[in-house]
Amino acid sequence: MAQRLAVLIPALFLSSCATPTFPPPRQYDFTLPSPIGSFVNMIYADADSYVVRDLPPNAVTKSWRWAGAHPQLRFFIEAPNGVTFSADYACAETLFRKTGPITLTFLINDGKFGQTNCSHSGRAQFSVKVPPGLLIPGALNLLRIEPDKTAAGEDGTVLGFILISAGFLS
Amino acid sequence: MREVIYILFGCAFTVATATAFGALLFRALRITLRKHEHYLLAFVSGSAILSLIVFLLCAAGQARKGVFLWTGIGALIAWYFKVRNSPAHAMPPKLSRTGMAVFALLFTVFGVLYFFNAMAPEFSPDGSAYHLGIVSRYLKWHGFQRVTTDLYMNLSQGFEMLFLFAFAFGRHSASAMVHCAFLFTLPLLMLSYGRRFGVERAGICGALLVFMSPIVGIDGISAYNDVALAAVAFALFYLLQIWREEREFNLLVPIGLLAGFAFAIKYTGFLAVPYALGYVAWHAPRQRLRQFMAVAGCAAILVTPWVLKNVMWFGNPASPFLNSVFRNPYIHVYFEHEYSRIFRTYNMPSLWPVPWMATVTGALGGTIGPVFLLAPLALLALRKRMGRDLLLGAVIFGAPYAANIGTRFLIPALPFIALALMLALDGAAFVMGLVLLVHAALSWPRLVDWHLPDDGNWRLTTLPARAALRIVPEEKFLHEHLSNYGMARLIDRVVPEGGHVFAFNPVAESYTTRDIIVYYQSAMGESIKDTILVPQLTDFMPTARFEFQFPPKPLQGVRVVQTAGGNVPDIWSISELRLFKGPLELPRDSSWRLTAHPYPWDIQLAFDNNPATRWRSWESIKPGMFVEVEFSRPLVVSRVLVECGHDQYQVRMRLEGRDESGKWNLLASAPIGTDVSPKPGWRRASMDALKSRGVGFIVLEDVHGQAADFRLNSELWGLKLAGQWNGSSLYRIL
Repeated sequence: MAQRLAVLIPALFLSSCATPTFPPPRQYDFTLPSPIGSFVNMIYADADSYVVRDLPPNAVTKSWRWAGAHPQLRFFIEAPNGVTFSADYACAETLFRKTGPITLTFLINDGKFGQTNCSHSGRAQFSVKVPPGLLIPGALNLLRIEPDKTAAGEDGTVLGFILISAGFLS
Repeated sequence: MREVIYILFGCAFTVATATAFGALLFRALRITLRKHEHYLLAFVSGSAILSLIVFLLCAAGQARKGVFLWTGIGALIAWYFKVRNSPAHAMPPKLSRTGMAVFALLFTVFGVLYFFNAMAPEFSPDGSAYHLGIVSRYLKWHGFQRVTTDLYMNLSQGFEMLFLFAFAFGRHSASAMVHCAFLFTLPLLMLSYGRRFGVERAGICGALLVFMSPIVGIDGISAYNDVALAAVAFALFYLLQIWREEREFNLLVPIGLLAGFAFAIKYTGFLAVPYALGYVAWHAPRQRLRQFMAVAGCAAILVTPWVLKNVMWFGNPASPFLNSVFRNPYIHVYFEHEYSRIFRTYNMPSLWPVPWMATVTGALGGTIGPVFLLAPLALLALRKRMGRDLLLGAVIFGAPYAANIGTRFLIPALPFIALALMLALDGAAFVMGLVLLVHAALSWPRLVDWHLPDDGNWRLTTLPARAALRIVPEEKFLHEHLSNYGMARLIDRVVPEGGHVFAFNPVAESYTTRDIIVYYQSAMGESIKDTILVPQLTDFMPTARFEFQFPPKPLQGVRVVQTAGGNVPDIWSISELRLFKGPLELPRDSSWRLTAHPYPWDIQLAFDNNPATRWRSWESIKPGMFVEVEFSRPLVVSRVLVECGHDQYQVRMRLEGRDESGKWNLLASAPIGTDVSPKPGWRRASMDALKSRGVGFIVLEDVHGQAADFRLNSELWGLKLAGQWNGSSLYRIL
């Protein structure tokens, strides 16, 4: 009995001091689709998930949307360095007659990074390098496009401009 | 009104039961004390016995109201029949009329203030969070359960056992009133000491100095344990003085029990045991070993249960401390070092302002009162034997203050300091009276408000008689006074039974029945917090890639060894460790064995394919730390990829491989580093990791650093706001 104990007790101590080992665990399935990317075209099926406010779905077509007074979108930015913002938009003839030239101001996370003028009606494009300090990497970033003038549509809705696509490209 | 009766009954029944046990102990040991000290010492000594009995009931899963009721009734019946025929107690010398009047007046005035504050709904920070949070859980479970996510459950809980006994009848306020009973007992013990040993004036003044001290008042009316520890420490000292005079061997039994009880109440009371042993060994005229063993044995009865509980459940007798000696998965070594450092310094560059802060400004969590600036005068008491004994007690019970400079940690030393100070001034009655008068004036709540800033100065502010008598409903009072009470109630409404909530800050746990995992209270909590931070903080994101390349060769295992040394605070971490043969990753096989040094318990987090989780060393980097994979059969490997965050700037790594002979050889002395971009799925991966750990909800204050990201990116996280209260939000993980 004493002999057994003499073997057992040190063995117990040794086993309690030994570094534990573990098998690999169940593998996490990291193949989730990204719910929100860095660029959206209004024709995308999931365009709604990018819109925060003032860009309601268009009953006539899915390829563009009327923007109101304070349209806001959100984008997931992976890395902020060397990112270019690009927007495809239009000033509608009917609206232009009421408002005249419109200035659009672009803000990301409340920081202004660009401005452009719609001096005539029709489609236009705006693109600019974004200062990396304004973007939050690995997170959702809030884009605001502020028109300096708006006008009421036929049904009284406040209309600013037409947005076709917007987002950030590496 | 029924509530008030339950509260008063819960407290009175607990105090009576403890006193009965103490009186029965004294009777069994034929210890005869003077009448004025008999009940006080019986109450304190009996509390140790009642605490042990409740511990045993918890261990047996019998912590029930009915069992407590019959335990108490049994003790009271035995007391009535056994003790009523005891020999008459010797009468003490009469108190002088002036002394009696001064003591009675101030004791009554402050006593009324304390009584109603203790009886009001409990809203102290630690009392409402963990002291009674633990107690309410024990009552719900009818005993102990192994909980590895709350370091406070690993502390000795001797006083919580008394809280539990009272809580079963009168809930929170009954428990707080038990502590208040010790607050009343302490000055009475000091007064008795003064009467017995012929220093009545010093006894009266010293007792009142302690009783009226603002920090003693607020602590004593709350469900804390510092005043109880002070009372037990002083009762131990008192009994040692009686033993020294009378040399009665049987006195060593309550002496040992009280020494052990001091440890059981609070770890910082551990010095009571060596103090009692040393005192007895030093002063025992003969049979020194026998007397020493008697004290040691009785102390062990109260100490051992808590130590054993920790050994059995946490592999560390001193948990949550000494984790670098008794390594375990439950508390990180890094946390312990930080925790200890913060409480040793409160992040102050110098400790010189501490005496001023503890006595005057109260910025260390309350003030003992400005008159204690006179404490150095207590050294004059060294001229007398009694003074030397008191100052030794002050040194012993004041020593743990170095480990936590919060003002309340001075309370156990305060009775000794106060008595020694008054002993030093004993010849100057006018000065003593003046000191007492100034102290009384400066300690009254309205005047404390007037002369002290509000910042961090924990103190009584009102006399809430209407709340104490429940004329103001408890719910209303708590909503007004306890900022996180509403969140506790919201959690109870929203979180399903058995649900786990992760919290960045303590919640009033005693007012919710759901399990709260506060981030800093366990290794698991810290790991969960880290998992939440990884997708948010740029430096924590697993964007760094370190690749070791070497000629393909069959290996029995590989290990990444950390080589950087020096005094660097960085913690080593690995999000994923991947092995390759050529361009193909080797699938992780269940026969592989993974380990790490230090902290092997989380190593699976580096092999789970979840980018939001990571293995961390949870200690500052040292050369020789490693992460290791052993294969069941040799595998050809040509590349090892370490994916990790950048928050480990000084880390240096080399790769070793185990060849078929079992020898470890260098495969690559340094990796090639590259970077990748963050991915949108990391937040969702983080929440999935929390769900796999059983966490379904997160609560955080809206001003917290993570709050804005939760709001802005709730869709990416997979979170839904489940409720808000008073600047805090509760999120459900979808």
